[in-house]
Amino acid sequence: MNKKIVWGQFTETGSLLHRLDPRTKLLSLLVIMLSFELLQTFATYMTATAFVGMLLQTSRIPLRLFARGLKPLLLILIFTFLYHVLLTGETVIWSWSFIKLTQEGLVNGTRIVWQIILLALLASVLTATTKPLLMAQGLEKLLKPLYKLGIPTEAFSLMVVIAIRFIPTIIQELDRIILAQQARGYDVASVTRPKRVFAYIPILVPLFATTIQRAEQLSFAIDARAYGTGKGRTSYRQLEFKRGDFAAGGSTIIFVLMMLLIRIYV
Amino acid sequence: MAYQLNQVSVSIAEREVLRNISCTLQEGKWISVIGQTGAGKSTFAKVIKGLVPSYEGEYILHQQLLPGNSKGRMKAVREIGFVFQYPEHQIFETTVYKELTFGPRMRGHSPKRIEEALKPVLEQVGLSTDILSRVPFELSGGQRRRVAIASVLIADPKLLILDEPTAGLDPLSRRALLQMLKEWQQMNHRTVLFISHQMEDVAEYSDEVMVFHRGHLLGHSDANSLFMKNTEVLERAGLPLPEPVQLLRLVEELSGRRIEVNSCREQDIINQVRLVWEARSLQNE
Repeated sequence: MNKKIVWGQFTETGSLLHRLDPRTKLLSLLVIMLSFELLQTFATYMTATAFVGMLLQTSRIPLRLFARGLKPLLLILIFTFLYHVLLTGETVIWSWSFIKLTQEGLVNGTRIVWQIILLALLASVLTATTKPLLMAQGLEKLLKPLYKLGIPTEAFSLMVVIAIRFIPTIIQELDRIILAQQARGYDVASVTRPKRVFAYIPILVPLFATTIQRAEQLSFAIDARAYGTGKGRTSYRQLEFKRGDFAAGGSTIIFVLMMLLIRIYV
Repeated sequence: MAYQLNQVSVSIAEREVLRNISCTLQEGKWISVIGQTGAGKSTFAKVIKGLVPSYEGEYILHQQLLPGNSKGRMKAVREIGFVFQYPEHQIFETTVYKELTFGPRMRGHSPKRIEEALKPVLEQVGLSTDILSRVPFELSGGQRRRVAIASVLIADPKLLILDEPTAGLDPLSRRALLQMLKEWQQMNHRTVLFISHQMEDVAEYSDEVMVFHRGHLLGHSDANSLFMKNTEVLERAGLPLPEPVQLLRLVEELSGRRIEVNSCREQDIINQVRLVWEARSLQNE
């Protein structure tokens, strides 16, 4: 079960990207993703691909891990591509019975799929190089200005931290419940089709029950440690922008400018 | 008829958690599995239940090699029951009745057969039939655990694996539960594989004990010889002696004489110490 979750899992390699401040990575990612709106000509696609490729290389994480992360997207990619190729556009280049392949569809389909792959790779670069807790801390710092508007950003970030922290615990619990029910003769495959909808009840009910129980205990524990009274939480590890962060921020800006220039002049 | 492992090794995430385990679990015995946390006890139990899909070596179940495909394997190990830690966490049905009959229904047993099996199981775990219509989530912790264990016993397993079944129970409930399971085992002549950290429970109920340490099987012998004679195996595994045996050794040290006891059970040790003590008092008089 655990092996299946590879999507963007944190992988330590000690690369430059790993050492960056999470705020730099979050902001840069946002800017780069927004700049993908400029993707149109082949040159812009190639520039963006080269940039993402450079990021993957800098992360020093084996490319096969990123490739494995794309696997769950395969169905969506195929569907998107086929949708564009078969159902949009006018210039028919090949047809058979009611199926028509159009030139515009082919181009659009390739574009969209390319774009999704780039976005997915970018997102996995972020999560593969940033520890979840650091990411939550970065998020909290970035959202801080909203605190003045009365939005409980600290509580929100604590929520994110706890949610991330409990994912492995819940997966472990899920594994255990599945084994326990299997040991009692439970087997999804043996459930007949109309009843298949309910086949997961023996797993989901105990999982929710224990998770809610655990959440309740946690909320007591948080209360018992006087959360919410007095001043806000402080962090043991303080975030600090270093030289590398300025370099990374600079590279992002250069990339966006390049995209703009290529879009206008090429 | 037995369960036999030949040179079985298991690796999880490139770490070897079981190394070259060879053993035979004889029928009708209460076999305890002890070892520190991470010694490989639970993985060993999962291999026996066929829940570990890939391992090196052979698993021979009743003189036949366990099938490699998942369906065949699950069918072959059907006769093995498994009670996990905190078994009440697996409860999901709306009534105790439905919860208890879940396993047999999944196995396709007839309603008549299920009804017949229900009453003796309830009696064995010390629950009355009034409980059947109640919602399991409203029961007390101890009752819920009994329901969960009954839901495994109702399938009448030939081998019952208990993975720390008493975790989180008070001392009295712990004893009562183990006593109940021991009676079930002896009455039906079943095999029990009991994983525990409580040396006193292991000494009290076991016929045989397996000692695990860092994925190795350090020793497999009868409980009395392990706790009373060959205690160096326990030392190597970093495990303590059961408290009654520790007390016996202390009494021996203080009195300066050896007290011959062949059983590691608490009551046997007390009786023997009392006998020796009374004999000594008589002598002094």
